[in-house]
Amino acid sequence: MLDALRGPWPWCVVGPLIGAMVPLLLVCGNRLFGVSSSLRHLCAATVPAGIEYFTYNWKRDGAWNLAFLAGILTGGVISAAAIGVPAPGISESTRTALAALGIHDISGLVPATLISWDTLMTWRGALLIIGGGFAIGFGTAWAGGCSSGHAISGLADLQLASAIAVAGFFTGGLLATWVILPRLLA
Amino acid sequence: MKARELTACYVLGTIFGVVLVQGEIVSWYRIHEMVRFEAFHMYGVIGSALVTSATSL
Repeated sequence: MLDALRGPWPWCVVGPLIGAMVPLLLVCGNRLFGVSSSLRHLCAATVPAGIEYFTYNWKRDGAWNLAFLAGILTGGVISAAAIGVPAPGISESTRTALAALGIHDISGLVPATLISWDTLMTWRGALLIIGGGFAIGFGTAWAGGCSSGHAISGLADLQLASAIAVAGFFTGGLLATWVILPRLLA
Repeated sequence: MKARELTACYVLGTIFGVVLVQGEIVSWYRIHEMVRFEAFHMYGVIGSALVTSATSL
């Protein structure tokens, strides 16, 4: 029954729903919408290790974010288990480009040929998964925000730093897609 | 007080999580397509999200 809700939902529905997170979080607790600081809060809550960066009142400043993160995980699980992951609604030109890279099985959220428990045991897979994860964790911590914090909250608030961060995100994506990935998959 | 805020954030997070998956925002394919500039979907999401949140502020 719930699978009637299965996507892919159109952008004109998804976008406003995401945008609505900004005022809703402000109303619920005067919190600025963002996700990447959750990594810092997790470290502060579990293994601060005497590091100054992790020594702050995480219960006061970050517990809301950890609750939000737990919610995202719950929503993701509900989405996948009860509703079902939508079949990728990508364009023909992208499918052709992916086929040229050796990715033919276009299903789920990530290509199993690149990202799976099995590929994690290969050099290429480990570089993509662990390396990619490290880049995200390091980059968003250094930039002080991710695509939620900078591209949505920061830009809506007309922050120049967020515009620069978003430009950085795109540069990285362009590099990864046009330079790194083809060489990695050659 | 605190429990209410945490519950509210948890519920909002759950909605966000459902939206992210059903809207394909966390789809590797969609992101790849976006960086290739081969579809409008992701840009539409970001743009309308920006308009929505900026208007609300």
